[in-house]
Amino acid sequence: MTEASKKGTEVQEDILSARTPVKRASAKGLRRLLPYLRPQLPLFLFSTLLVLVINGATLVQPYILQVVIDNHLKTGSATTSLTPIIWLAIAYFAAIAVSSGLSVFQSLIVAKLGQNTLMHIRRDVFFHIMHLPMKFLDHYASGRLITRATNDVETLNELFSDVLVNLTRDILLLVGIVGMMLAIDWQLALIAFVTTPLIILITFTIRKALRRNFIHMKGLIGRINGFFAENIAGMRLVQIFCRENAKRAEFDELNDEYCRSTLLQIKLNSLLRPLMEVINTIGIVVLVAYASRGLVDGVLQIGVLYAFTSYIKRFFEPINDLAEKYATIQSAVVSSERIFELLDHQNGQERLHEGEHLTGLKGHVEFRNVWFAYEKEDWVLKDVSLTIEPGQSAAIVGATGAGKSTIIALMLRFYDIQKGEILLDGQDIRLFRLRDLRRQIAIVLQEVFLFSGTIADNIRLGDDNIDDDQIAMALKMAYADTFISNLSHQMETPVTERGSTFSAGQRQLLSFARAIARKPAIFVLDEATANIDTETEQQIQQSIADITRQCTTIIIAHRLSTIRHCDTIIVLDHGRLVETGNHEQLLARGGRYADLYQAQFGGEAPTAAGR
Amino acid sequence: MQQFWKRYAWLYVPGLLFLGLSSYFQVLSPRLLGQLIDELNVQADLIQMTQVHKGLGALLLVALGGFVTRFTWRYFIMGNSRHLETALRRQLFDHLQQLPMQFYQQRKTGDLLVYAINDIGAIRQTFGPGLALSANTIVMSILSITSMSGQVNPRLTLFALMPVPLIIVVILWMGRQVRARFRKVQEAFAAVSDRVQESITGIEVIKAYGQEDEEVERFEQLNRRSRFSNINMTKVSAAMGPVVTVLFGISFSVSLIYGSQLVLLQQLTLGEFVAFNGYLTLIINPVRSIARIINVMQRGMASLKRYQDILSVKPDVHDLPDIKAADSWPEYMTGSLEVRDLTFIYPGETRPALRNINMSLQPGRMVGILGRTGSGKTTLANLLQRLYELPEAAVLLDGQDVRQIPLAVLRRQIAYVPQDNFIFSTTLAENIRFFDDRYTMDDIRQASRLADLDTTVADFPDGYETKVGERGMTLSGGQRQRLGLARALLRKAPFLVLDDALSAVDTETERRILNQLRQEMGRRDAACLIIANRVSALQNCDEILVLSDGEVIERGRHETLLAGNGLYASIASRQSEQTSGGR
Repeated sequence: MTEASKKGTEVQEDILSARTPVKRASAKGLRRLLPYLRPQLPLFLFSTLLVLVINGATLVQPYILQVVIDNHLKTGSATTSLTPIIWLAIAYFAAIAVSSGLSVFQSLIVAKLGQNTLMHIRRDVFFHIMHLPMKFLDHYASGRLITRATNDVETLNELFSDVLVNLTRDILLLVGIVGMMLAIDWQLALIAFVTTPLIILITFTIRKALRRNFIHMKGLIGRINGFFAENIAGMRLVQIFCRENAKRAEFDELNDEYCRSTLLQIKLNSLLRPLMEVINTIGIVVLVAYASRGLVDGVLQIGVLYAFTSYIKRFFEPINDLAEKYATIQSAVVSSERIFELLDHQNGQERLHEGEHLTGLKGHVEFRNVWFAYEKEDWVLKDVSLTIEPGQSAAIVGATGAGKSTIIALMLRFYDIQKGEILLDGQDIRLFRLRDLRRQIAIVLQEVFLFSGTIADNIRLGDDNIDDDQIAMALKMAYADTFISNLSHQMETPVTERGSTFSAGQRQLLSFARAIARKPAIFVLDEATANIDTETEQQIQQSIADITRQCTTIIIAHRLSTIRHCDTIIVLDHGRLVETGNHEQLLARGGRYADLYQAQFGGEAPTAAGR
Repeated sequence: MQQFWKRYAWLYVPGLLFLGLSSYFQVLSPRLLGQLIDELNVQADLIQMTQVHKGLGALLLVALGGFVTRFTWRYFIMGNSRHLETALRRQLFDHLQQLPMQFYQQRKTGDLLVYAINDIGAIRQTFGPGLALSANTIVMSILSITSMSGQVNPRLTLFALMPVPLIIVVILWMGRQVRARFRKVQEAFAAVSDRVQESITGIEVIKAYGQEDEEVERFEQLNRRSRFSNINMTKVSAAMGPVVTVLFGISFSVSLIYGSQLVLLQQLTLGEFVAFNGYLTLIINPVRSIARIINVMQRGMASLKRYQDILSVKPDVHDLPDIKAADSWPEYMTGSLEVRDLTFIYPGETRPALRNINMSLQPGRMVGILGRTGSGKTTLANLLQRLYELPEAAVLLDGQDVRQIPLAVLRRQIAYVPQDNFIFSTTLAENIRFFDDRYTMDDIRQASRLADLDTTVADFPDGYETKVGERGMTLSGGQRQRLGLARALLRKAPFLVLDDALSAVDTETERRILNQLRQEMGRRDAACLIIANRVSALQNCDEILVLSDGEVIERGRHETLLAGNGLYASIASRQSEQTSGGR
């Protein structure tokens, strides 16, 4: 599969372009969310209804105060009885209680709505990734996939939990304030709106700058943390090579730049709110200056003036909220576009459950004139035909890039071939259910991957049909039981840090056990050349010998010494099958295999042929 | 850190001063508004426009004053906290650079990062927003309450503030609830992220074993948990604000009734009544922030303590006092590196890791060390570089105890190649040059040739300028090792130490590299120490030491050792059985 990764760059570029510039971020990205939101429509409508009541109850509060002032307290119209005021105060409190109580309820509804949606999206993304074909995965950096499924989905979470809760509330509140003011005194209201464009303009401008700088800050802190992580991991080398000063200088530069950008953030932040207060005051001053003439003329009530100043003060919050939300929405659009770009990549999603059931495979493998290329006409396998009888052991040898691993990948149908046929027990593998096919073939990969969980979990790998006894058996057969019996909780010992507490050899033994526990019809071993100490190496060899006796075994060999006893040795060269036979036959033939063998074990001056 | 104390710390004084002033301006404004209303609340013909205009002017001035002071204190205090953060981070980085190997073996990279990110962030919060919020709460409460009781009415004030203690209790209780539930949200999120990361990284295994369905099912459980924990948190967090609003609603209602009565009894003017409502509004936010202040302060203090704990770890290997300064030493020293009767016990352990080791690395010679895992090979390599503190006169360079040589000078003499080479995420060239600009591209090419890396590099898309490491191309184990070798060879140091450094390289390449190395060492008159698991790597050494359990049990040339029937011979025969089937 290394052959493919080199050529992956072009496709990667295409996918990279999904990083749409924010400007293009249109409603298109959000529209794709609609199908997810539709089931939540009743909840949404209900919440909007609640918002109407909440806002009404909020906006009536200054009005009640106005009535108290104008009808009962103002010079000239002062009442003598306190009773109406008490009733008004009760109404005032009731308004507060209603708006507060309902807003708790509304927040909960929106949270539920958002979380439901998010859960579905997250599941779809994960499901999609799990079913992506290898062809796609080869080209798509795993880090980017992880970002899609975590960060991008999390940005949508922000959209749902933060924006959605307040968006309708804010908009309706603004409309309500404007309406209320117009209703009380439309002339005065128009005067009060003089400063509004200024508020909107300044708020959005500063928010935009804040957002841009925030993204810059986030990038920098990411780099700083990365720098930290890298240097801590590589500290030994830095110290040995005495590069401390160079590293410190590099760090200082990043650190100082980050400091500068945070200072800018502080300045912008410190500007916004105080500036709004000044503008509000200007608004109030203009209002009072204008209104005081109205008062003189006797056409204006003083309570109205009071109510207006309250409304003006409430104007800023929703605008500020909206400006803030606007930025969140923008990043949500980008994230959503990226997510759907991934989800839209439908061609080649693996359908694991289609096809004929496959049980009791005997293990007969046949390749008939197989041609395969990862990219267009760049053939990796050329007209390869081979047969492996049930129970046989076969080895595939050849230089790096000869197509050894490709053969295995094709058997598992990680890729589909362009020409020819691959047959298992005489039937084309494309007929079988993928899930069944892959479960009949157990492969031990070169790089052992251990999941978090216990050792038993790692052997079982989610297959509950494998019980503890079978796991114990498998561990014993893989010669892993000795080192496991020394662990604190034997096979229930948790695997930490992706298994880095185990040696490379021990990890290899665990992955053997994983394959053995499945009682596969075909056992495939992509042999590792890693640094394994002599004792473990012997155990591994012994284990391989045991397995070979039990089922069809295919070994991709890097070191020829391990495969001398195989029934068939298949020699590949630049995608062509050049020789097959057993060790002695091939050696006697004096062909490619003999060359390879000479290169590895031959005299003091090896030829350059091996490279 | 010193820079911070000298340049920035004093700015807290004007910062706090301006914060006080800003609070003062804020408290002035309800009063001005009240006075204005009183001016207007008379018979229409009695309104004095000049007074009204004066009042409006004052209102504007106060707003402007508020703007200037608020901006200023925020800039000083918040800005200072950022300078503090920067200084702390630099200090931590400096400190980490000086810490001994031991420290890194005990602590995982992840832990250290958590310190760096969370603790420094929490400390900044305490000395920025935390400090400002508490100062603001105190000043604001005092000013508002004295204005309320002094300028308006003490009894009204008392009645109106009655719910406040209850509010504080409720806020603290709910704050704790929210934090506990938020932690669950974070845990759930971390669990989801971990699963995603793991499943994607291990997707080849999942696919090969047809485990997609099970994997999706396992993910679904975490996914549901994440949804539940989010909603569960919202139950409290969404209630917190409204509950406080309702409780303050009691205050406002009480002040509305009692205040109105006072106005009607003419003990209070309408303007004073309105001003009172204004003061009450000013108190809401400081009271609300109490929970946050306490939280920030607690976290900050805990972080500060942890941070200081890290700083108090002292490097155990450092230059002894009274030695010649680093710049008075030659770049490279001549002579041999000698180990004399070296016995070494790791700090905190009782069993010696090495016992009575004697060894000499002379110019132009190659010495090999063979031993199983845990026999003490790497310990010896580490001690040559004085990565742990050495006993006196146990390692000598050119006849001098290496403890008398500055660390920087000593380590410059030894080019060390570990088994696991860390690759920094930058270009190949930079990784070989290792951030030392004195080396040219020619140097790099030559070193790469010696390490058999040049042909590999030629295959890379951008040659030596190819980005590698976490954010670039990944290198195979063998490529990493050859890069490590090139990195070391570039330095042309008089001593080269290969610590199992070719274990992932295939036998053929290993042989070629060793041959080239042998010639190069001879040309340079440099010494080479090869530590290995495989006999094949040691065949050409002038002397081989076999290490077992910290002791040298055999020594001699390859042929001699092979002829004997010791550990060397038995390891050799077992390995040749494996690699060549009894040849």
